[in-house]
Amino acid sequence: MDGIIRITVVGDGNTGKTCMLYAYKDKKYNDHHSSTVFDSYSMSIEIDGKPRRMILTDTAGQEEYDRIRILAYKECDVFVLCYSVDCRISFLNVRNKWARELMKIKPNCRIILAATKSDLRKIYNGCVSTSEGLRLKKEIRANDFVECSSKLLLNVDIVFQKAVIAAIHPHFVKKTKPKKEECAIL
Amino acid sequence: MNDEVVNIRPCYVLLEQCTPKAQLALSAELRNVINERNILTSKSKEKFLSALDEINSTDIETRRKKRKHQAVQEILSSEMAYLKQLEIIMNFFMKPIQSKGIIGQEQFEILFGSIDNLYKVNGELLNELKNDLMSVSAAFFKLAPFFKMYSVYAYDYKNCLDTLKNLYETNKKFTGFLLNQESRPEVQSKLSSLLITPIQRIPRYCMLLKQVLDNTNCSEPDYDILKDSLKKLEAVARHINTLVEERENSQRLLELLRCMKNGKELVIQPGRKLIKEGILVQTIPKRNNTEKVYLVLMSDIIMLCHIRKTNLCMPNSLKCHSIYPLNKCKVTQNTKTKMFEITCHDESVVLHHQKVQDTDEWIDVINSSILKCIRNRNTLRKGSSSRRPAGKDNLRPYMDVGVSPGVSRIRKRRRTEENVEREDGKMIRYDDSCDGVNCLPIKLSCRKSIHKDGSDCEDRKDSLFPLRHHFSKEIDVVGVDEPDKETPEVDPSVFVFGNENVNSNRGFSFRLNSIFSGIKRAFGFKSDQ
Repeated sequence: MDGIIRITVVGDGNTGKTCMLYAYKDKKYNDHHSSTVFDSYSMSIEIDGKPRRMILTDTAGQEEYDRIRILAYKECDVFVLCYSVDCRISFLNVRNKWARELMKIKPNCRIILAATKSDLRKIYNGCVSTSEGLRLKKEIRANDFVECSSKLLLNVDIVFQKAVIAAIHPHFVKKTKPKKEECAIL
Repeated sequence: MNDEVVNIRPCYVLLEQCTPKAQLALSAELRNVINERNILTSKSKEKFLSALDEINSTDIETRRKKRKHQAVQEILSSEMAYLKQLEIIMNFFMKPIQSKGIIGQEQFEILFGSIDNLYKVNGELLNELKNDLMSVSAAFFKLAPFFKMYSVYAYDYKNCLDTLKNLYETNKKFTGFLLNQESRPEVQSKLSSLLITPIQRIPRYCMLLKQVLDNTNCSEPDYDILKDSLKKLEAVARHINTLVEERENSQRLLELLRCMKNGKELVIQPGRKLIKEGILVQTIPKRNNTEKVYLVLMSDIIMLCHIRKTNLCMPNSLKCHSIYPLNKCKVTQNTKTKMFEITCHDESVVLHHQKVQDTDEWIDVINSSILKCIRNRNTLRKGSSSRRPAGKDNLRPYMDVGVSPGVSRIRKRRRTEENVEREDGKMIRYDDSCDGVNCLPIKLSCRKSIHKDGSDCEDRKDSLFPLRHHFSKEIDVVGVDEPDKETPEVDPSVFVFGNENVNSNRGFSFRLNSIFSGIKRAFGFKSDQ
């Protein structure tokens, strides 16, 4: 730990990664003008009375380029892994693609599973439910699970707070993580 | 603000057809009043005006134009932010390091070698963008070829990171400097995360351009160029991606090499790629027990290794016990036992993964690799087609043969095949000095080039094609020089090195011999005359 916590947001395209980052950074949601690119953003936060630095990074646009994406993983402490509740494919990809990839590159990485666009539950039927999300959290052994909505600015702060907590309390987290089987080192 | 008013104005005309006039006048009036008098704070004024804009731009067309404008603005602003980051690297890291001489020149080159160039390319892009905001497409179109520079950067990035890590651990002066600079209020970031921004930049351009393209009508003049630029940038991004992938692949192969106890010579071959590797469970029916094996799937072979140490990163942790040529392998799946069997000639191995899902994945990967291997072989210079599985006892010959591993099974039979072909009257003669296994690829390609009609020799791209083509031209010239002799009809497709067969055009071959013997010697073929 060198005082800097690096948080990277990953997940399928169109799950609202960039939007969530902007919602957290600016504390507002702009329906009319959504930016495409989130440059990595550095902010200072106070933890236990000590100032710490937090760097947020976006991976939007790199979904197709797996190798480019992976290069950024090494420089990261916590991943916020997103799926959107209205898109089941993005939910399935968490298990099939993202969690595997993260585990392969960083076997002991800390993951916060975030279900985005939770406001859409009211509008669409057949959205991914909370219990399904919790089950997935256990399956991929994520550190925490949060449902959030950038549009309503609901729980967005909590996502990043939990990410920070996971970053600064790695030992506490490791205890709760059952070690079922040894991972193949690839 | 004034800019925006000018931009919005055309919509008033459009709206007049469908919207009541009174409402329009009101919003326009309000806008004017707000702009003229300084009655609101700047923040609420902005809010108010943007709300007004929103009412006005109900029309889809206007909204689209506005979005396009925003997208273009975003390109400009993010480009500026990006250049600022590059400037931070240059001003707070590169310059002080160079002036103070904290690290050696060589390491400096590895770390920051291409930052300068990237900065120049992007500075140029920013200039183009600033000159004329609406010519985004032209700017990108002009500079797209230069973005290939990024692939150089991406290729070296891993090396750069390793060097950085190494310096961080060994060079105390450098570490102190780095910590000091990283905590500066202007920087507030880690050097390693700053260094990755160039790699992430190209995919971002794709996204930004796509955003502009989505908000452009196909009738607009810049639509085509925009589309082209986007395509070019996507190609660059893919290129970077494949470069990084290849680099990682070869590095992993080298790592694998370090882990192996034997058969190191077998792993690295030109054109060979690592596809998948992992621990599988092998069932041995004879002994009725199971054993963990390490399976390495490469683009043309499958390698089975014994695991000798639990830590697979250690040297000598793997011992290769058999290699199967992929093009002769077959995978049969047993749905009941959730196992699969790889058969290669008379060798076979029954495997499964601890997870059923992963077993299926393995089967898919192996099957697709086999197909790909066979497809690739059809267009490639070939190794021996009679490669056989090699086991413990005959691993040695597998190593010896180099390009075409495997023990030849039917070498004798091939001899008889040659004889049959000779009887067809073609000028085929295999140079006896080429009899070694190493020459097999050449032999095979010669044999393949024989066609009974010999008509479409130009189309055939065998390994000797360019040479043969060249020779066939020379033959024509000789023929013209001496018209009194019967010009032999030379089928260029069947020309091979070595002596020609006795029963076809003896005189011709003698004449040519003097020309070719020199060339032959130059190519290292022994003449047995």
